[in-house]
Amino acid sequence: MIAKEIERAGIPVAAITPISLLSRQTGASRVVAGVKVPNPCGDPELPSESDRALRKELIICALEALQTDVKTPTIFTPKIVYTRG
Amino acid sequence: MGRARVMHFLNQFFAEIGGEEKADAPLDSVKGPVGPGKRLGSLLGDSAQIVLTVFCGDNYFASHRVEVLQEIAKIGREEEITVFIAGPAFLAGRYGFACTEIAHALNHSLNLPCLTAMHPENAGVVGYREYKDPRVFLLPTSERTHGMEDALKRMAQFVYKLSFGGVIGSASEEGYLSRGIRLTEKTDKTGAERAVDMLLAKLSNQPFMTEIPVTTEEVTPIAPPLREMEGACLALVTTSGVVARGNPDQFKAVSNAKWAKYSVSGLKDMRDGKWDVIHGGYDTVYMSSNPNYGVPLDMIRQFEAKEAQEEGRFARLYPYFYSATGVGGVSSVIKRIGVEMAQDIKSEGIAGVLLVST
Repeated sequence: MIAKEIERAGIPVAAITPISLLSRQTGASRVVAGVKVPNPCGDPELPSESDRALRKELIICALEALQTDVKTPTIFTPKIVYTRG
Repeated sequence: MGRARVMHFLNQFFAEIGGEEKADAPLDSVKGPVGPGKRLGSLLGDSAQIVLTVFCGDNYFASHRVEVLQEIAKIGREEEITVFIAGPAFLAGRYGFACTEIAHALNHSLNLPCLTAMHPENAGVVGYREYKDPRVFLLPTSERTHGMEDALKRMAQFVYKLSFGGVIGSASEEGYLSRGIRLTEKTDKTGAERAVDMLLAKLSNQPFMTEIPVTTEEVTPIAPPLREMEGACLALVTTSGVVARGNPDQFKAVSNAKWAKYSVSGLKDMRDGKWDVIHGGYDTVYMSSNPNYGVPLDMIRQFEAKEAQEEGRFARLYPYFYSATGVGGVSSVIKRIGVEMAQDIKSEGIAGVLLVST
């Protein structure tokens, strides 16, 4: 996977991955639980302001993840509400 | 043994309910074969009968795995199923994963022999190799559905053997993917004799087959964390298929082999620019109307320092985002894309990456 090669070059990657795909081997060490496949960084069913707020939480979580020392692949969960499925 | 009673598992696409938009479809079942099951049923002939087809959406399985496994086991028990088949899943990763999980569960709870089929690079193969269930078999298929007829024929032949309770030989004999299970066999030659035979063959450049293949597990490299956010340049990477309007680098919607970087310089929101979405693995309607879902530019700008060195913010966002459509790809191609992208990212002095995948 792409994340693995970037990490191999020594650059940390925060991978925002849809929640239904978290159990897959992605090769990323810092995985952020995103929303759904068609919209990993947001929720089109939310009003615009809430959608942006959700995206902001994902970014905050991803920036945290980038600065976290991890020894094994780790999932980071942002403070958001996930749509079903 | 009478005719085998087969339960067949499909995802929403092969069950003909719909595409990605139906990936949340809950578990359901119908009597008899559905979709490719119909052709499989006719190929099975007298050896077996598909009495029941169970299906659910790819996302539904992932988010309700435990309940779905329990429910399918219950159905299997009630319908007195004797063989379970899942697939063929080709390169559909979520579907392949579901096939392997269900086969593993049914093999354990109902002691059923199980057959599934998918491309060797499908994510589902990983679990199959880890579980090592002696009575679960995975047949390799082509990448896409053009190999359907061939896959169904080989599946039918395999089910014929399973139905008659015959002994299934080794992976290389029978054509299924190896699980790394070692079976004890009787042979006329001692270990010493066989080792010498192998060595002589190797020395004279004759073909030989090792009895114990040695596989090395690759350790996932873990990069150190970002130490100094305030001075860092961060970049966005996406596999969601967002590209510049007109798809100038001609990404393919499936089995894409290219990557590119596109300028977001001066843009505060992806919707201020012109983009296309090239991706055959999901319904791109939301992404097209709001590419911030795959390239979260609008909100990441808020964490970019306005003046030099602001606390809690990174110095600057790299003025391009990296893009490579990620679906139905063969791992050697994806690896090459990753290596090339990583080289570019490193040479540009980027200190950290936010990657969004679909």
